[in-house]
Amino acid sequence: MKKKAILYPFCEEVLPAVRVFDGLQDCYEISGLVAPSGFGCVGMDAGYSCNHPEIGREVLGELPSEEDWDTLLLFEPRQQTEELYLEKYLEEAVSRRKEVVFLCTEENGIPEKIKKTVVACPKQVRVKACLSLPEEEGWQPQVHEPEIPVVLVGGLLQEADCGAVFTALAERFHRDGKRVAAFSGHPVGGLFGFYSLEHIWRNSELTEDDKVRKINLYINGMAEKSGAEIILLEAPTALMKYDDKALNGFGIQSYMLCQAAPPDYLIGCVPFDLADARMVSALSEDFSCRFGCGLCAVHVSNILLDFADSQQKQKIETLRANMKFVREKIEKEKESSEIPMFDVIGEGIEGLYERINGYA
Amino acid sequence: MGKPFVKLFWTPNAYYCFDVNHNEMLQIERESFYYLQNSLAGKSGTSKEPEEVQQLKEAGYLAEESVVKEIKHPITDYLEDYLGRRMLKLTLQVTQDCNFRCKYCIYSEERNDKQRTHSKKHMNWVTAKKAVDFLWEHSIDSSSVDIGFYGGEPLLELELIRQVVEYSEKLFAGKKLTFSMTTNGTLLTEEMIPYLKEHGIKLMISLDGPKEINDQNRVFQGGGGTFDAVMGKLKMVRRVDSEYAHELQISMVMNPENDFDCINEVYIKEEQLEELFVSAAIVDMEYDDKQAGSSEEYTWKYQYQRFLALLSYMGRIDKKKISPIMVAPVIADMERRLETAQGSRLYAVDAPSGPCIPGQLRLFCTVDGTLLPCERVSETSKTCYIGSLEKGLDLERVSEFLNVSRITAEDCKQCWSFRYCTLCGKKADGGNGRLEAERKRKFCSEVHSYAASKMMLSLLFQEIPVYYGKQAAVIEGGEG
Ligand code: SF4
Repeated sequence: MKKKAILYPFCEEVLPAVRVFDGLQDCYEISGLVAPSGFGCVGMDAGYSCNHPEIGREVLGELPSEEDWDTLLLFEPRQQTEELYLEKYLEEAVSRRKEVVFLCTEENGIPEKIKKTVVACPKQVRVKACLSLPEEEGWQPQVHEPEIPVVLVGGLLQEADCGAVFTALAERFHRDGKRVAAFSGHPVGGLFGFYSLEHIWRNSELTEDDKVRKINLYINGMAEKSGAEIILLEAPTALMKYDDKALNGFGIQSYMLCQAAPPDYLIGCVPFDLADARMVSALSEDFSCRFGCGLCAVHVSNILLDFADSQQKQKIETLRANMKFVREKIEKEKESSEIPMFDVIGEGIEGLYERINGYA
Repeated sequence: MGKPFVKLFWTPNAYYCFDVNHNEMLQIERESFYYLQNSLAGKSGTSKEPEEVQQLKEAGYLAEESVVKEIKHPITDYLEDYLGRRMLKLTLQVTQDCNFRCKYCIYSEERNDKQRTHSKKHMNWVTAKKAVDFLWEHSIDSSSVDIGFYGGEPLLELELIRQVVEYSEKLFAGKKLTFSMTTNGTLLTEEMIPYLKEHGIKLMISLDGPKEINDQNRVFQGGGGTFDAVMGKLKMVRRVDSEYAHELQISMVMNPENDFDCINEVYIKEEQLEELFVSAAIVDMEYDDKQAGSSEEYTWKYQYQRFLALLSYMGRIDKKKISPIMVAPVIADMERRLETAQGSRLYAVDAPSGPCIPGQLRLFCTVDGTLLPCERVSETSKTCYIGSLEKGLDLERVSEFLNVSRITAEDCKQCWSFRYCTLCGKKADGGNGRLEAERKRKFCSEVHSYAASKMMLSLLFQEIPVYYGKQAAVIEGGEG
């Protein structure tokens, strides 16, 4: 029987995981989503966090009563910089004798308090990191291109639903009985058997060359070990510089990833205001040179860059527009666009999945 | 050739043509410059078109018409999302009362009939809470929000402020939340400082220069000058918590009828003001239908100080010798200089830069819950009303305010300052309940001279490495 789990802190970043939660693992069922009040979604349907359609689950401001849940799934969102009150919820769950699982990409960098509680209550609190494999166990020493198809999901902005498209694809492949080696930087990914490359990206002792080499070895090692038929990658940062203010790390990590595992299928997540047939085709040409692979398909996102505020703060600031703009844009552009455009959020993954399957 | 849609500039070193449609500054030959100058004056028929001009035309420059066909702000269609999900700041008018009676104060009884006057009205907790909830409900996509306290004199309502701070900290737990307060500072007490620091409440204290200038206008209700009281409080803050004192900002309203050196002096001589950030603005007389006049001497001195600040920016003069009044505008100018180089071309559907998104950037909530685009607009004019806590935001009015340039659409389409315009709906508010084109047009010449000075500054910095390379090497310390 599945354990009833509370996910904390619920935020925009974890919404994609909530959507596919039951399809990608058998241990838990979500019985509640809890968020700090400041996230602005308490009392709302979880879909509101991204201005997406409702998913039928209201976000709570506090842990529900004891009989409603068994496990607290805690994690640190990638983009959060403010106080998260993880400790408060950890303590509350421990005192109520509930199981606590801390989800992360790698075991290094777990907050001190969590580490201490894991040591103090090893039966009650544990850490679940994304899967990793010691180097000597399964890796071939030689760098070589993956022998199975590689699907890369990346965006013009990381926030353009890359995580949602990635997890939806992982779930769809899984449903089709395909064995997928999925690599994502999301802390919740460990729950779904995703691998993470964070330990390589964050290793400051490695040169860029070393990182590419290690990523190649790691991806191949994991794919071989798991007997995967497909490699699914989520670009670690956006695919390219957005503009002179929103630099997006110049897409350097995406480039390195493509050097390590050249994609056969590139799925681009594009903000709706940029999703013009001509623009998409120009991007595809650019990516062909940059990554060795043009766009196979585009997901159109309702993300919108707040240009003035991004300029002011010198960092990317975005908002979620009404989904009608996505629909209108696809309707307007679909005839003239050589590269098919999809709305994975509004219409589901099926269209995009078929496109991948039919893509030569 | 007809009249090209360009603006010409020259410096002692070169000639330039600013192509408005492309938003690009082109360096051109002297001959082309004079040819274009004649064309603009309607006299081009007399001379042969220079080759360079022909080449530029072939490359798509020097068009005679503006590409702008419709005035529409690019976010007009997304207003509901911006205001529904990305509000950034709320300013609460906690009281309309003040212990000062500044003579130029926009709220003073003598000043005008287009703004409210001082009153005893203050905000109650129910309204304040509703306003904070309103910000919460409209900011899910904002990575940070700020709540500002404004008056009158906000410190007259310290208890309400405490309530708002406590409530907001709980409501926004998990989101970056900052507080700010515009105050005259005279009601500050020693006990308040640790509280203000603990909750990160940033103070902007008003002061207008040395005693003789400040006290001409900034007086207590009873009539006495306020300079000594303010300085005393600044000293107290420094004594109680020097770290917090260092974060104070000074808001200065300058009257250009005064001597600039004299205004400036206070920031150099007064120890209490040392190294504080100074935000200076010219006295606001817009609702009096007047513009603040400045003497020639004031302008010279101001420009001289600006020049020194530029030299300091380039590392030629010690920053400590520069007028603190000039530091912020010069830094802003330098940053905008980059924007000049990077701004986008004009589009068929476009709007002059200028208005911020009314209500998104600094929504102002009056004591009774009326919502206005910011704290600087008239509270009595219906033109600026964009909603209320009771009814929510009126998106049609917001859109109208945002697209204020529609009332001068034909002028704007032909205006060379299109990308550099700074005018918002406030400049078109004559207090008659509608945006007025004639009123707005009065400010266009100001925009043009501002844009021209910005471009000249940009050209100066472009020319430094080309024409003043040797001197630039000295700046970087290369030759000594
Ligand atoms: S300066 Fe006047 S004419 Fe020019 S863009 Fe601004 S409002 Fe329009």
